[in-house]
Amino acid sequence: MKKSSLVVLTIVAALSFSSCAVQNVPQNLGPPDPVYADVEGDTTRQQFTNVAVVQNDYYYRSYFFDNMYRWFFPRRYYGVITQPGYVPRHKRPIRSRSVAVHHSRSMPSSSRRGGFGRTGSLHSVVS
Amino acid sequence: MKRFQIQPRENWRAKVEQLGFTYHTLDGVTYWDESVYYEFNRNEADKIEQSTNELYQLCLKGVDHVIQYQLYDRFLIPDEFVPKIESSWKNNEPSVYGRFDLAWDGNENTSPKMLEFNADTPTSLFEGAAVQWFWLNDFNKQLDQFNSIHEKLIARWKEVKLLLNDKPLYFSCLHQFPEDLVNVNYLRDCAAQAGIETKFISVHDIGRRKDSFVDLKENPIDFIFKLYPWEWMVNEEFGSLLSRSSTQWIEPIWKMILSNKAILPVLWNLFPNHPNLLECYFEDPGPMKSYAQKPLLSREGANVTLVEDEKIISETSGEYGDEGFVYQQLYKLPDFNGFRPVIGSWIIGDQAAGIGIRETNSLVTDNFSRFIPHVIK
Repeated sequence: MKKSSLVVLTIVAALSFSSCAVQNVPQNLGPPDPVYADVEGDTTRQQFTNVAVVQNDYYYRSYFFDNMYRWFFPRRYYGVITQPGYVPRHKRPIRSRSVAVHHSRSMPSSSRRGGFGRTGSLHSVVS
Repeated sequence: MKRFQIQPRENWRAKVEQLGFTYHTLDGVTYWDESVYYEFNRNEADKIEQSTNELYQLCLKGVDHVIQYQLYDRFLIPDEFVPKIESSWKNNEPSVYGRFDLAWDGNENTSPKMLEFNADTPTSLFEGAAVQWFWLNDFNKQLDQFNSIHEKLIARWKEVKLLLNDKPLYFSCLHQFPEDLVNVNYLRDCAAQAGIETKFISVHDIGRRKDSFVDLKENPIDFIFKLYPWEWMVNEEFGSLLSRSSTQWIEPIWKMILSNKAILPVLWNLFPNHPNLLECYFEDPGPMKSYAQKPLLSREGANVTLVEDEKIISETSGEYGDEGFVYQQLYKLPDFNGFRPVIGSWIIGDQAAGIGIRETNSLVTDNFSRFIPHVIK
């Protein structure tokens, strides 16, 4: 095979690969944005609602197996991780099978704040 | 160790409120109870102090062991935080405080037993350091108290100040909870007395900008004290940033090891039959027929089951337990006419600093316990 043909084939292959679903996937990587309740009145420690977590095991702690799923079953994989309320396994609360959505007076609307403090309305810090 | 009943000060509510102690009554139930006090003699106080210092050294050896043998799975610590914990430990990131919960009746032939170590977010600090001290001044100035918490806190903050490079130290908690806020404000006040520039930010208001945590004005947070548990932080949305950011946290992340009850069987394994430790195992009670089953991460005595001669004698409710349990030898709190005190013994820096007593009518010290002042005679 001529060198020029090899170059063309390589470019075509690269373009094809970059346009396939698997390669587009990284844009969707990661968990969905956390669900915060609208700003409400004063919080009490007991005031919370439980949202059932989507039960599945497609998102593994191991990036290797995670990538295996992503590469070989991209539709299933993205179907699962884009479901509302889905939380990757490694980000699920250790002690609970549910995700707590608490109502906080001080939760700012910016997506860059409020990343800490959710569990605190479920369990007292007091120890 | 004796228990005495007395008349509370006539205007005790106003007196403690003047100090800023706003949660003396919780849900209509007295939490600060000065109708009673406990009395220790010098030898008893010395024994508590020695035991506390000894236990803290055991705990530090326990952390070293966990890190050396990579026992993180036992502590449910996610892999991504292991390097951060190890660097935090190797760099000696400073710890300010912790509270051992000890069971002891003052009997000179026995030793205080460690029930657990509240190493990350211990509370009841303010009432232990300040409120009971002012009570003592009103009650009897001739008596003493095992209480140098305030002085040692200021001294510890002075040591921490050397690491701050003149940068401010943020203090953070869930500001809507008075108990948390008062404890944090007290610590902040001690830090200010040590010459540290301090700022407050609610846990909810901590922001992120790229790989940094920032305050409400988008200024980077280089140093922060938080009254918010590590095991919650690592599981929340910003948890993934913890291992990348350069923010230094107090208490440091290596305290995740000590605040987990998995440290109890580790310590028993390292120091079997130590007089201040109770027999303890992972997964099952082993040879014990009487034991306490405790969740790895529970708080306020939640989800604890006490078993005596293979029969359940006490059980508390709660939302913990999915994470697993440890099984600790049953050691009943001493009984003073139906009242059962647990001794909260404070370690500030690496020194025992004083005690605060919480009392219940049951075998498990829960969120209905009352804080009782003490004296040394």
